Parts: sequence; C-alpha cells; structure tokens
Amino acid sequence: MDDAEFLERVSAVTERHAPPDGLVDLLAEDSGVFAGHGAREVARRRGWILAAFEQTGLPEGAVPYVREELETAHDPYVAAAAAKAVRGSAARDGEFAYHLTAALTNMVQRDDAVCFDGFVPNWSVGSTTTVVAEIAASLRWLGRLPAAVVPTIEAAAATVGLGAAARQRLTEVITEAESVAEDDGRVELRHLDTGERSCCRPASPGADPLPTGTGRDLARVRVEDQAGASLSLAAFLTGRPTVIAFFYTRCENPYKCSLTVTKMADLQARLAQIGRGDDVQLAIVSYDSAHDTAARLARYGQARGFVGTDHHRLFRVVDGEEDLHTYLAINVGYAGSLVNRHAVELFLTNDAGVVVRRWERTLWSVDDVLEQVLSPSAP
Amino acid sequence: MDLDDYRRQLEADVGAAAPPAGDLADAMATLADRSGPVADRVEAARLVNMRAHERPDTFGLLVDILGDGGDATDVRLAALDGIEVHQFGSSALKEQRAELTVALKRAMEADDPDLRERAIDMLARGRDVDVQRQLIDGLRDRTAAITTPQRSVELLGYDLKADHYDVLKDVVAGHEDAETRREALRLLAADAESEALIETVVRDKDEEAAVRDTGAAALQAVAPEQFEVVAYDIVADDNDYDEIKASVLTKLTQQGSTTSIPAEAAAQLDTIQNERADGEPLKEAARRHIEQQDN
Repeated sequence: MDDAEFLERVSAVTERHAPPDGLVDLLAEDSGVFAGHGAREVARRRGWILAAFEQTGLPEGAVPYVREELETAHDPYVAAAAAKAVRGSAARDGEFAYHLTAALTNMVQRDDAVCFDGFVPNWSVGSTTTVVAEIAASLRWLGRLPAAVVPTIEAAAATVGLGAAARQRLTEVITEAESVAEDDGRVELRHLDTGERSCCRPASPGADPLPTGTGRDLARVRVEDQAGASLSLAAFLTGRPTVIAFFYTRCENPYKCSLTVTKMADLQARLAQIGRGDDVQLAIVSYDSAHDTAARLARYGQARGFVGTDHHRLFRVVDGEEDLHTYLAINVGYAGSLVNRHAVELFLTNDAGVVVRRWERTLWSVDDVLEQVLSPSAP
Repeated sequence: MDLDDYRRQLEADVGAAAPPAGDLADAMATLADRSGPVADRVEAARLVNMRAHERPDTFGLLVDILGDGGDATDVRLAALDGIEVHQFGSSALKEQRAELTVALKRAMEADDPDLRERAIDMLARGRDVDVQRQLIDGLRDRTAAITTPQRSVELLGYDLKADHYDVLKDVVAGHEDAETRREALRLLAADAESEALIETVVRDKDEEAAVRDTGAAALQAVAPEQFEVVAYDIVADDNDYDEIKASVLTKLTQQGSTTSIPAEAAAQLDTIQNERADGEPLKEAARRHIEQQDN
C-alpha cells in the first residue's frame, strides 16, 4: 500500500469524523498497511495512526496497542505517538501512568526530536517535539499519578545525557502530581505506600482471547531445533503442557525478542528449582526461519541462558509455517523475508497441544506464567 | 626515516594539530557573532571544537550554528566538524540530541553539497526514516536523488531493515554502474528472497567479473548450500572464466563443502591440476580445494 492510499485510509477516519475504531483495524500486523514495508517505515505508519487517537479519541480496542507500544517501543516516534494517544482517552485512568513511565524508562536514554506536522514532515517549518516531552505531557494530563511511578520519573529526570528541557518537564510532572495529591488531602505523594506493584509494571491486563485456529492445525508443521534435530511440532506438543514464545535473532528491539528469550531462560531455571523442569515444556519458535539456522538458534539461546534439552528447545519452522501462524493467530508482519513488526505474545498449550492461555501485547511476567502453569486447574 | 627523524616528525605533527592558543570564552563569543568575519569564526570554531569538553554549553552553540540556514557554510561545516568529533563520547552533546536531529535535517537543505552529504550521512547512520525514504526515492527517480546511486545504496546499508530490498533488486537488475550494483548485492546477502536474483548474476557469463564475484559472496551468505551447487557448476563449465572459477573455488574451500565434488567438476579440477602452470591462481585454488576435500 503506497503512502497516498495509507493516508486516505487514516484520513477517512480523522477528517470525516468516522468512529475511531476504523483506525484500530489498521494497527493489526496483517492489516495490509504494513505489508512489504521495512521496520522503520512500519514504525512511521504505526506512529501516524496512534498519534491520530489524540484527536479522534482513544477507543477501547486500541488500548492494548497503545499499552504495548508504551512498554516495548524502541523507536522514539512510535513511543511519542503512543503517549499522544493516551491523551485521547475519555477517562484519565491512572493505570496509563505505569505504561507511560515504562516508556519513559525505555526512552530516556534516546530522547529525540519527532515531528507530527505531516506524515512526511518538513523539518524546516514544522513544529517539533520529543518523545520525553510527549510522555511528560501525558503524565501531566493524567493529573493524579500513582505514588509508585514517582521514583521512576525522578530517576529519569536525573539521567545523565538527558537534555535540560526534558529534565525540566519531568520535574514539573512531579511537582504537579504532588500538588494534586495535596489538594486531594493525600499524604505526600512520594511517601505513599507503593505496595507490591513495581514502579513500571502495570497490573496484568487479564487473560487475552484464545486463537481460534480456523481451518488449520499443526499436522503439517515440522520444525528443526537448535541442535539440528527435525521433528513434528504436533508430536512435540503432545503429552505435556507447553509454553510457546516467539522471537527472531535479527530483532533489534531489546524489549522484545532478547527479553523474551531471557525470560524463558528464567522460567526454565525457576521450573528446575522446583523440580518441575521435565513436567512443563518450553518452545521458543523463530519468526525468521530462513535466516535462523540451528546454529544461530543455539547461539542466541545460549547467550541468554536458555539451555536446550529434550523438553526445552528453540525451533525454526521448516514446513507448514503458515499453518502454525494461522493456528495461533500470530501477530507478525513481513517485508519480503524480513520481519517488519511483531507483537509480544506467549501461549500455554495443554497436553493435547490446544491453547488454553494466551498473553498478547503485554510484557508477561515469569511469576504470572509460572502461576498459570502450576495452578491446580492448569492443563 | 630513522627513529629520531620519526620522533621529530611526530612532534611537529602533534604541534600542528594542537588547539590554537586562546580563551575558550572569547572563541565562543567570536563563533557566536554572526556578523563577524567568516575566517575568524572558523578559526574560533577550531578552538571550540578542540576544547568543547571544557564547557557543556559549547555543544548548544555548535548545534545552533549547524542548524542555522542563514549562517555561512564554512562556519556550519566547522561546527559540524566538532559535532562529529564528539558525537560518541560526550554526554553534553547527547543532551542536545533532539536539537541536533533538527539541525541536521535543516543542514540537509543546504546548498553546499559537502554540508548536505555529511548531514545525510549522519542521519542515515542514525537510521532516520525520512532520509531512508529520500534515498529510496532517489534510486527510483534520479531527479529526486539527494546523493549518487552508489552512495544511496551504501547509506541504506546502515539499516538492515530499511524499506529497500525491492529497490536494491531493481538496482542489481538495472543499468547502474558495477560499483553500485556490487553495493546492492552486498546488502541483498541478508535477504533470503533475493537468492534467485543473486544466483542469476553469479551464473551470468556476460556479467562483469567483479559483480559476479560479489554476487558469489552474497549467495554464499544467503544460501550456502545453493552456492555450493552453483560453484561446482561454474567449475565444470568449460566456457566459464578462470577468474570466477578461482574465486568460487576459494570461497568453497573457506566454507568447507558439505558434499563430495560432483563428477564433472572433479574432472575439471584434474584437468586444471594437470594442464595449468604452477603459480596460476586457478591451479592454486584447485589444489587447495582438493587438499581440503581429501582431508
């Protein structure tokens, strides 16, 4: 889809006052507006759509996308756009503060100028902003901030290399939040009990809908593991519950694939500690099978502490990749053979290979997954 | 040159490179004065650049001058010199990152080609999507080009995931000069879908040897097993050139082939061993390959 058609699709909503849900459909990795474009171009298009929510209003269906980008975006333009989208929300939900401060932590070392004056902006005349400025603006817009996020904002403001203007904006966020807290009759904000909530980890958004796998199964799906062994994925998934994650070794976003494999290694270690290592299988599957050879899988896993065993493996798909992606409704897009965008997602299957739990567009926690896997009602 | 001469020469070079004497505050004032003589401001910039680490506000001045389209080109270039020198090591410059991005975008609009090119280069290294778009547009439509085709391909190469594989395929299949096509082939080595195109280039006996050689390296990276097939086909071909045969044999030897040598290629290797003069590159490549296979 060229620029003109893409912009027409967006402006059909933004300029004709159509319901903003029409924009939500465009955000899906397979929506067609990203197909064939490189990662940077995809980021530009996603950012343009997300930023539009500031004006159109933020529909409920867009919230998972905004949340995901705030937590994992590596590109300042996308993170800034997601921060702008928050200000389109009908309610000033304090939960957004956790996502915004997660974005702040990710972006504070890479604050940069961005320009939303046009999809292809003219930097000589357009007004510019920065990602930290947009995050700060949204935090101020929220007004009441949870006490738990304040230390994160303070730490960000003290970061070496952050510009003076950004530092000032963050200081103002804290000052205003404290003022609001005092007006509310709350105790001093920074001394409030932060409870068990992490500074930048929002509450779990709850169970995500399960993939339907319409018309597809895993019968034809063959995989090769990190040691070069070829096998049927359906056979591997049969007999034990399995946690399935996706990644690819060429991923440049440290908050996605590298973190996913590192957390799977942590999950592996935690299962081993409680003597359940062989009861639960772990499968980490590459989106980029043409590139991710067995040797590359092995190196990538090893570097992040994931130990390949009979029940814990990294895979590349050698046959039936489309069946697998359809079966699990994987959120991934491609430009030719290159991944141009993917969601963070995790699946739990039962001993028949049927998906019983899914974490979609969220930074799943090892504790949460472990709890699900080990619960009495687990598969 | 003996050691004493070398030392004297080195001391002279170091002396020439030393920052000019003078007060940094004065130099900053001179540099900031848009109405002052350009030569004086360039000289002041040299001192500021050398001692920029002494005062964090120097970088704000350098970035401001770089982004000022109304300032003299030589002064803007001198400011860019300082920014380039300090871009990886200065936290004070890092604080100016957002302002620097804007300044570089404005420098891209400069009339001076050197200033423009350097701004484009710095933004391309930062994987700026606006620059990537302009580079790709320029490869598709020469009238929209912001730099040469070869340079455009090089700059796109800073980003493996740029939106450029289609246009690179067009470059390889089109009428650009050999160097530009070789640059494109190097980048396509990361794209599994380009395997067929690369193989076509490697097998094409009408293609320039250097382009085929780069294509062979790209095919080896993108599809090592298929490279092996193609390489042995080339070796077995009576009508192909010694230069490319020697090249693919050397690459095969370095890679370590996974199959035994096909009969036709083996016969050719025997012929080369028996009939070529010692010291010929092809005979040497054949000998090393046979030795490796035997081991």
